[in-house]
Amino acid sequence: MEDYMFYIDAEGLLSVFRLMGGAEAEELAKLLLTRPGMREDELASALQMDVKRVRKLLHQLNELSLVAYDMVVDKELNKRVFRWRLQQEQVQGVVKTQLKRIAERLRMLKKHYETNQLYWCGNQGCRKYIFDEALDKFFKCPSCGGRLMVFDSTELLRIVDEKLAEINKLLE
Amino acid sequence: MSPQMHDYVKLGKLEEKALKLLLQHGEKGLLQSELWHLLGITSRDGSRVAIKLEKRGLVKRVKEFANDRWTMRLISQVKPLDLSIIRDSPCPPCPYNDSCGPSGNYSPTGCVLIESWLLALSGSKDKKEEATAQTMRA
Repeated sequence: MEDYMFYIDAEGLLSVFRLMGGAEAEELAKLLLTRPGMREDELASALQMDVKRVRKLLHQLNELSLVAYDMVVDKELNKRVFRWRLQQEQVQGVVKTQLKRIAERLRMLKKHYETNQLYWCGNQGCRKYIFDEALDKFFKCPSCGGRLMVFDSTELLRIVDEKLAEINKLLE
Repeated sequence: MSPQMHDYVKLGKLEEKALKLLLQHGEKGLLQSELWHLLGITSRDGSRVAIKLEKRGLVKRVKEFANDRWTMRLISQVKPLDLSIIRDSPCPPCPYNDSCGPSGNYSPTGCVLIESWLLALSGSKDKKEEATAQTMRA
């Protein structure tokens, strides 16, 4: 008996690729789903993308075990070529791992927000500092120079709790 | 959609349809007869579909006395994949994804991206609630 946790149809499969590698990865997966065994240059011309970009994307997805390749010698071209295919059997595992990792990080953040008073300049691109760090920086943001003010993390904590509950429900 | 494009959990069209119906009914599941009715197939074909799905571990068949006879209730053993809860999360494509966390070299407590994601979620939720309230008022 196979051990599935999620029912992943074609659309779900593509959404995993979109999540892991963006829209380009999704387009690439769509092609490999219908035509497994394509070469990098074939993929690049079909997607109208630079072959270097396709190669980078393929290796990035390969590191995540979402795609795999078979190396074969092409007698016509007289060189080694890589034929790529999706590793559909790994998708369940990849999804579970990502969900677990995000949940782990959210738990760390929750603890951090609960145990520390945070200071922030209010700028979206700048990080928040705990009291000791803020004191070291004389309550001046090292990135934008803004004044570090007490940050009320209640809303963030609420969102973290909500996300954690959603993820835990899915992983149950 | 080509046949290869059909599915990750490789199923026939009928099995896929049956499973999708069962997923819609969640933990309660459906009686076999209800499912055959919804699918518009005979009990013979239906039993084949149920057995196939059970063998693959996708559904559970539970004996139940209903409508004056013993029958089977089919309950889905899988969940539909809903990635919307982590949509736009910065973690999956992050280059530090493997080394961030309690046992890694990087900590999410100093990550601006994850905080921005959470703040954006808070903002989008407020907007959604506001839109719902406006619709209700209208």
